[in-house]
Amino acid sequence: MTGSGLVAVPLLPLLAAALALAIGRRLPRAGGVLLVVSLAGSLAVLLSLRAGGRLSADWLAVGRFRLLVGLEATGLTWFAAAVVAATALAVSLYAIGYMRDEPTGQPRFFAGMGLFAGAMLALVLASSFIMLFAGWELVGLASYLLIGFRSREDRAVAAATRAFLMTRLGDMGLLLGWLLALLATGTTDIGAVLDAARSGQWVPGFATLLGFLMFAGAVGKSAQLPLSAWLPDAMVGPTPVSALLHSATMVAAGVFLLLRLFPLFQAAPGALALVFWTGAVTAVFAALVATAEMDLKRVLAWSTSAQLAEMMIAVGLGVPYAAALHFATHATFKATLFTAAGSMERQTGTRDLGRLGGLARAMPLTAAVFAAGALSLAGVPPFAGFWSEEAILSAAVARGPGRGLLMVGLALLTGVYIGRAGIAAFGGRSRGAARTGPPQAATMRAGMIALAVAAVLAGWLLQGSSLAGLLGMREPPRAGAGWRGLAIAAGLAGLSFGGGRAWICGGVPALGRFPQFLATGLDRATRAAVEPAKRASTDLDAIERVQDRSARALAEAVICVSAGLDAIEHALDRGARAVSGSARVLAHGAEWVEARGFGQGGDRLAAALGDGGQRLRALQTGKLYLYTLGLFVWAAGALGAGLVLLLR
Amino acid sequence: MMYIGGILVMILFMVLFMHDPGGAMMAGMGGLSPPERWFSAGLVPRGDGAGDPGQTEEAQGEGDAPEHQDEHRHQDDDDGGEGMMDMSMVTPARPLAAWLAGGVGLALVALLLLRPAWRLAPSMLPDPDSARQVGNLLMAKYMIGFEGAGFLILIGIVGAVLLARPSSYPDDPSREARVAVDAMPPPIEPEGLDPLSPLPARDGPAEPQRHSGRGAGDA
Amino acid sequence: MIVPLTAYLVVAAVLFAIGLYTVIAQRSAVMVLMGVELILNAIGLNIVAFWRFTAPGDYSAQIFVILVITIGAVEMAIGLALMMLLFRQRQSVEVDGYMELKR
Repeated sequence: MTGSGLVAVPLLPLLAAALALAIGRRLPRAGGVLLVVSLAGSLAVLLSLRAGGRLSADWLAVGRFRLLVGLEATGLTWFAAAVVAATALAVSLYAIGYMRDEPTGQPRFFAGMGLFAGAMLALVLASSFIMLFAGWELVGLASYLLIGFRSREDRAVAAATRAFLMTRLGDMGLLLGWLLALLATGTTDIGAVLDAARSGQWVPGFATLLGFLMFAGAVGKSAQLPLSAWLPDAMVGPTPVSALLHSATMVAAGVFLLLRLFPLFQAAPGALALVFWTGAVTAVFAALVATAEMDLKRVLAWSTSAQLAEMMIAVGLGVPYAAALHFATHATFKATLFTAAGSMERQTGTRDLGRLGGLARAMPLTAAVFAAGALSLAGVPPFAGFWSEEAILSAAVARGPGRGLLMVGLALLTGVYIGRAGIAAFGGRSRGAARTGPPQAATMRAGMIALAVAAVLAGWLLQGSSLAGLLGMREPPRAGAGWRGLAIAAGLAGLSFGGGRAWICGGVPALGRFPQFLATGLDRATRAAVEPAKRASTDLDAIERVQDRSARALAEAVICVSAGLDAIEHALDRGARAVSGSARVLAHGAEWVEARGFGQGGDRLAAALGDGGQRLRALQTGKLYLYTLGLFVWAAGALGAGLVLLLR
Repeated sequence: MMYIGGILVMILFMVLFMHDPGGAMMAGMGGLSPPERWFSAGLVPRGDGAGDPGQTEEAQGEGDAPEHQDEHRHQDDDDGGEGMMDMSMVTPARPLAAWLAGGVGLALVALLLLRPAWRLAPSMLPDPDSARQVGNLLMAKYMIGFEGAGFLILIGIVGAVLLARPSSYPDDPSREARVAVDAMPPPIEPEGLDPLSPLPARDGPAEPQRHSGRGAGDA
Repeated sequence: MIVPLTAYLVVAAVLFAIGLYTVIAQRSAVMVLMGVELILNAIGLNIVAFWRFTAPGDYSAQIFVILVITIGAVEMAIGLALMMLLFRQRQSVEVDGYMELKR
């Protein structure tokens, strides 16, 4: 019974989305208010339910396969759903103000946001693979719609298509994975599959294979290395979309999938190793690229890729607790950074780090919010990022000093790129961009401040054994003070290096230009992968041409046949003309009979009936008393007749 | 008893509101049927027509005298003027109506001669418990009928109010009764019947052309 | 003294006859309505008389009379409302003035 309220959690935003789409023009703020209210409702329902609810139903059963749909609030899913709902709430509050001056498509935008949040909540709370996959695809669809929101711009369309197709590539892995799991266990219940994985009843390679397939989905969604090029391109969407997409809904789905299926990965050490190495390579790569990007939002996008890779590292190290904690803190501070960046872009009209600068005086609130997010990202105590990154560091140190050094290096790089971006945008001299936009809406400020407060406090509030207990995961042993101090020092050093360089030289790349080549290299590699596909399609084209030719030959044969048929029809036509000629002669005779006989006879009959009607009309006097009289005379007569009959 | 008193009041009201009580003005004119003449002979119009109501009036007791006085006074007032109004207060079917009414009344009274032997209840004392009994019946056995009557009253009141409400368009010309055309339809001429005019374009290959030719011929 | 049943029946018959005459012979619609009411009341009187003299223990008759009166009242209300409407439209309540249906 505790589970029935769970349905409301994803349903409320979806309902708000449908309403916004249907009657958005007449709603306040084009449905934005409705969206915020629905998300608040979801969050309230979620918080009132606590973990432990479950709601599941058979969708269909075919043979030995039982397909379930359902929602489940385990500690992990409850926690993740709460993070998603809270972040989405703050971001949509921000979006109301952000989209205020958008001329068209506001209902469409808020409908997309509602779909995005609702689908993510469904994904997170899903208790069966079908539900999870449906949410997964819906999230992809919503991101496609939102990235391509400004559908008149070619870049937006291209980026949306690219994001959709690249994530689909990973989704195929997930689809194959859960279909394989269905084949093996006969059910789509996630818990049952995980139990089967835990019990070790499968052949040794099977769990590893499943892990690889599922991880492919996570790689696509979370923009890990082979498939990470779509994420920076997705920046063409409106900033609230980026904030939501990067913090809680889209990319976090990949990490969430790994967390949800962690028992499966535990049973597959090979897959875990793959997760770790993918994460490590992506983290270094993305962080390096982020130091060289000139576009503020693209810096943040690469940073997201790197941070997600850190979560992958945590999962790969076998410490999902650290990944979950980082999942939550990253949602807060990344949403904070994006809202601040969006606010700044809205005020100045640009996000080119070469032109921004010295904006802290013009926009103190935005600068403060950005600083909170940046410090949190760089892992400076006591901001949120510090706690989760320390947990990851502890996990890494426990597995060996090499991995610990990797984490310290990552902290350094993180500090460098975010310090550079922050100082280049808000510190130093003004370099052209000035505050020209309209003043910020109150809702924007409220959303930003709420997120900033969360980015400061979330880590301290969440970390600790109570969260570990809720998630059912064990906390890693804390690393030694030396390691922790080293990491903090690395973060601060990175910040001061990046910031100082940006202060002096402006928005030039922090570590030279070589990371840019990495990015273009990845881009080129992606394009190279497309080439064979293109060639295959030209081959297909040739095959089709052959088919076309044969079809033409067939068509000509058909034409010949139809010409023969045409001749036959001509003959038939001539016969039919003869028949119709004789019929016409007959019809002339019939016409004479009708006109002379029936026509005039009917005329005379009608005249006679008309005369009779005129006479009968006199009876209808229109006088009420005559009618009444007639009624009573008739009644009296009838009674009299009855009496006579009775007495006779 | 109360009920009979009510009927008497009803009659009184009728007499009060009628401009032509008993047809006194018509007495001197022709076209009166014999029963009417008989009715109109006395000054008190209804009194003689029903010697039987006399009995009820006796039962009523003290209610009689003032009513009769009222009748006389109003009759006098009415006789004062407005001759043409009195003329037009009855319909031309009045003689027939008088005959019919007299006949029906006589027939009904005559039916009493044929009456079967009703078993008369001996006790004639009024039952002090009757109100409660009626109430019980209303609420139990005849509840549907009672509720139906109540509903009918409601509908009636609402309908009456709606009907009698002064509307904003008292004389909407579009609601005038439309007069049907009295003229006979034009007769059917033998020349007008020519559905089989010769087909145009006998050799024409296209079917649609033939159709259009037919259509034009019909039009 | 006790009034015999026959007396009531005769009164009812006479009321009925008068009502019948009124309905047919009177031109004023108000009077026609009154005639209808008279006929109804004649019937009511009959019912009550029969109840009183043949089955005084069964009060159903009273109920029927109540219903008859109710319906009479409703009919009267509707009729008078119609009358007012018609009068407002053509300044007359004479029944042979309403001849729109005959054309």
